[in-house]
Amino acid sequence: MTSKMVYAIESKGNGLGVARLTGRLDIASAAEVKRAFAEAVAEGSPRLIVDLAGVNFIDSSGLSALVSGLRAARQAGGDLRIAAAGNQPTAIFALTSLDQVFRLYPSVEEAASGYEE
Amino acid sequence: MAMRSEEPIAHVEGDADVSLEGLDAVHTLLSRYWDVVEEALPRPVDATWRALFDSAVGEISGNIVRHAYLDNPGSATFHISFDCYTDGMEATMRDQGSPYVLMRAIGRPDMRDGLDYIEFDHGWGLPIAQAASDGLEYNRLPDGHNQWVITKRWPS
Repeated sequence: MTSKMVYAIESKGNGLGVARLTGRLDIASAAEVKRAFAEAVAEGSPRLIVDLAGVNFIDSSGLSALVSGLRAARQAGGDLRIAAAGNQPTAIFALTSLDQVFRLYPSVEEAASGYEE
Repeated sequence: MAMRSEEPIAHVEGDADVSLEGLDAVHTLLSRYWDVVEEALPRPVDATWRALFDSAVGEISGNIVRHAYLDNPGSATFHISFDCYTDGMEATMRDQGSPYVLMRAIGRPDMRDGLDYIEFDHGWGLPIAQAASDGLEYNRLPDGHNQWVITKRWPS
């Protein structure tokens, strides 16, 4: 299973940032991803979309990083939304009731449209 | 301790370093195990069922890496075995680290309860592993090993 987390956060303007993650979001990568979310918010992208299409595994540490990003984004007047979550991320969101906290979208485009509503 | 008289339909085992990099080995073993399972079983395993089993394995592995060798991190390996039976699966993990103080989780983990104060290491791993499985057993063995057994039964 793809291991090392690779991510890129792109500012789309108007406060919108898209974070594309690939690999496992777990104890090995969570701290770095958490910092990246915080930096993106601090640098003017409080409306984050996290693209999980390339993420095949999230553990509790990864969930904590997402929640930390959500809190930072909301404190800055924005939000953190999830796009393209696969089987395991979707299952773990449901198990922990975080599917009632995060807005989950099938795609980045639909998540971005949600910000415009 | 989980003891079975029946032979597993599928079995994969191996060792992983007690380190963040060692988690790669866990997931590689898990992937190999699923390849063997898919060949052995007549029907595919439900994707959500599989995701929850994998989640439990990931949480316990992470727990071992994070807690078992605090005094001497990165110094050892832990052993993992996966077994598929007619009524479900088991994952067994053994390490020689410090004894673990198990605080039994009650009920299903609701991370909304911790939303306002959630931190990187808030301890959601064991509740998630327990909720994702049908049994999570920890024992400190007489030989000084910690043993974790995750059990998940096929849906009825």
